[in-house]
Amino acid sequence: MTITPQESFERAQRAAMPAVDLTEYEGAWVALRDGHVVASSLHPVALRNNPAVSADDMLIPVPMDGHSILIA
Amino acid sequence: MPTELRAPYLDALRTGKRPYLSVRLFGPSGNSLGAIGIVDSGADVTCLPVMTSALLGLDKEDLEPSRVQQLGGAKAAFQARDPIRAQLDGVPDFEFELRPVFCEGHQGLWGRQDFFRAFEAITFYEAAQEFVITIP
Repeated sequence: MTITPQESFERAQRAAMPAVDLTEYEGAWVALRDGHVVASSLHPVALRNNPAVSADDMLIPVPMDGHSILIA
Repeated sequence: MPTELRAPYLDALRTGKRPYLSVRLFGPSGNSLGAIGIVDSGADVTCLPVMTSALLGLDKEDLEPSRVQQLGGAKAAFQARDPIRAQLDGVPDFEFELRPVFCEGHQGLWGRQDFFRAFEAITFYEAAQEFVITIP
């Protein structure tokens, strides 16, 4: 079965986004794999160097702002 | 022939539903990083959290001082001297270049002068809470 560009895009985007509540990690960086936290650290380079983290994992900072109206 | 890719607004970081997009960035030494940001037509250029530059392997020599204007006033920042390569997650066949500014904050923004220019069109459908990226 052929996968369309839209399907490939949707799958990858869904896998990259957090699938869990990250509230407990606010202010820290987390490594995500398939949307789930693999490791966390206050320092992103330390997180990248964590043996549990692979090059394909998403490394993202977790905002502390909570739900708000963004104007930028 | 252009390809349209449709994506829903997401509450990716529990801060509200927004047009989030995951992009893979490639540093000058080949290391890559997946980054989540908001597709933001109000941002002149792409803006990423300051420590992202270290994760991409960018040194001081790779960055130049810059300033960003936010609602709270102007703040010091650093901009990549040379473009970095990028791909939309899930679209490995289409590569584009970004020249991001690295500044304070936790929220990545995909901005107009680099991210938006890479595509034929980016259309927001606010009522439907989705956006469409047209790849040339």
